[in-house]
Amino acid sequence: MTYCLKVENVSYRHGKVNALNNVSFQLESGKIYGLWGRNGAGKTTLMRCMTGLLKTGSGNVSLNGKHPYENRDVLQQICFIQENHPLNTQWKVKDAMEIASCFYPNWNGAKAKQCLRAFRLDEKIRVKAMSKGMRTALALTIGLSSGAPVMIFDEPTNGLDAAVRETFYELLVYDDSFEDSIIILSTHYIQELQRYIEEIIVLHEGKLIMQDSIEAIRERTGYIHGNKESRKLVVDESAILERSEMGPMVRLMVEDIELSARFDEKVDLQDYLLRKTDRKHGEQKEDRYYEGA
Amino acid sequence: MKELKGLWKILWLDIRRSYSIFWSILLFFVILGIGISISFPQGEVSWNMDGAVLIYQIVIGAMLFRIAFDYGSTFGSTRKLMYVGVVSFLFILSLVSAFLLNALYFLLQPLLSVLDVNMELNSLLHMSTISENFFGYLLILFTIYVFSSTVSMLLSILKQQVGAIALYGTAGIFALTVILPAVNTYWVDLFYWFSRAPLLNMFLWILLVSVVLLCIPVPFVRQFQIFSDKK
Repeated sequence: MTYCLKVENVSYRHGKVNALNNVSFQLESGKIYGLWGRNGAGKTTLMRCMTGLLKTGSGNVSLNGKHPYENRDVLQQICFIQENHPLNTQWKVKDAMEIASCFYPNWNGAKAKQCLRAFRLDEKIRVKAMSKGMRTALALTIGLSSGAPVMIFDEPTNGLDAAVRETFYELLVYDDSFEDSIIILSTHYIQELQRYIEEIIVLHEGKLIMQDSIEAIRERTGYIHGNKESRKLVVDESAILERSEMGPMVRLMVEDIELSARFDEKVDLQDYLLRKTDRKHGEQKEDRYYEGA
Repeated sequence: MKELKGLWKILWLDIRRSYSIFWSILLFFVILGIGISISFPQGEVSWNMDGAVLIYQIVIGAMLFRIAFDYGSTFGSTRKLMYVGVVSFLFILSLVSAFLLNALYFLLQPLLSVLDVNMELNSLLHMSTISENFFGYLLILFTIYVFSSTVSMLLSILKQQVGAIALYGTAGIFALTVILPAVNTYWVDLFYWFSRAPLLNMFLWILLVSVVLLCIPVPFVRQFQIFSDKK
């Protein structure tokens, strides 16, 4: 079965602060999506709205046309693993697995055992005896074994060492049972995730500023190097994301597919996203405009 | 039903430790009382167990809602289901507590006679006209525990959803009903009714009041905030 998760014109306010402002996008089965944004961009609020933990101020969230808010039929199809996922310190690993199996009708016990082995978690250990990384690994095990067609992980690799992070990605990516799933990975650090995600959703100050494939972003962004006087550096000002100078040499970070033939170097995705969401970006561009004039 | 079991498991795992500690302490004090009355036969040891259980039920009642919402929501449970889970658990726990207490009470009575010690087991129900039998005491204690944990649970909901000021306001209004002569006579009448009401009458009335109280939040349950900071 294929699934379609739609977010249509969703807005949400935390008191006087606009946490989400008219956000719309659509996600489809069989893809791993990255959700990126700076602190306070609205990622967690968006995920909470998508999973019925918060009621949207306006707009709609729907999974195959049905709203998740207070709708058990939809909520059992969505597994949301939060950052610092609440796990009772009295629980043993085994208890957490048993509880989770009560809530997810497609709970995959074999996958749970596989994850526990991979993360080296003993079923008899209590949560209170676990390190932060182990707790995160337990939460990830719940998510990966839920069998839910929509899996949302908020900062899934926080507190995990490099080896465990790699294990998580392997468990996530090399599993055929996730072929029809919608997987959303929210993160601040896109660098490591970019190998696994197909599309990225970028939030900035509560607004959706981009939903695009990683491949398309790679193709249309690049650095152009050259001498200040070089004709190579003559590009449309609106395409420039960053300009750095060292003596007579200039390096431009540009975003324009038509300039791809002139790219000397690929842009790091994290740097690109930082420049895209740079608050000073507009001001800098104006400064450059006056310098040029 | 499976989700309800999941919620009960969440609640039980959270309180299991404190529940067993509580009953162990209660049992310890009973044994201590027996020991003291054997050691000092000239004095009399008087011990009330149902009051202690009542206080424990009030404390647990205040915790159930938060536990269910904190952990149930992370597994995609709906607010409505979490509320049903809390209420049903509250009924089960009250029944188990009433049963355990009664079992202890009615087992200790003959034991104290056999040991011939000067120890008296008191009960709140001695103030009523209900005859001392297992089933009658079980029914009334069950309803009293349901009622007490219901009230504390509703107050905890009020604090979590509306804020501490609403809770203090409610406490203030309650205090006024005790202080003001115009209304405090109703409490006296209530106590008088408690001391005279027949078993079935008392059972049905307390249960009915508890059910009515538990229905108050129902229209608002779907709107409950899961995150107290509203974020």
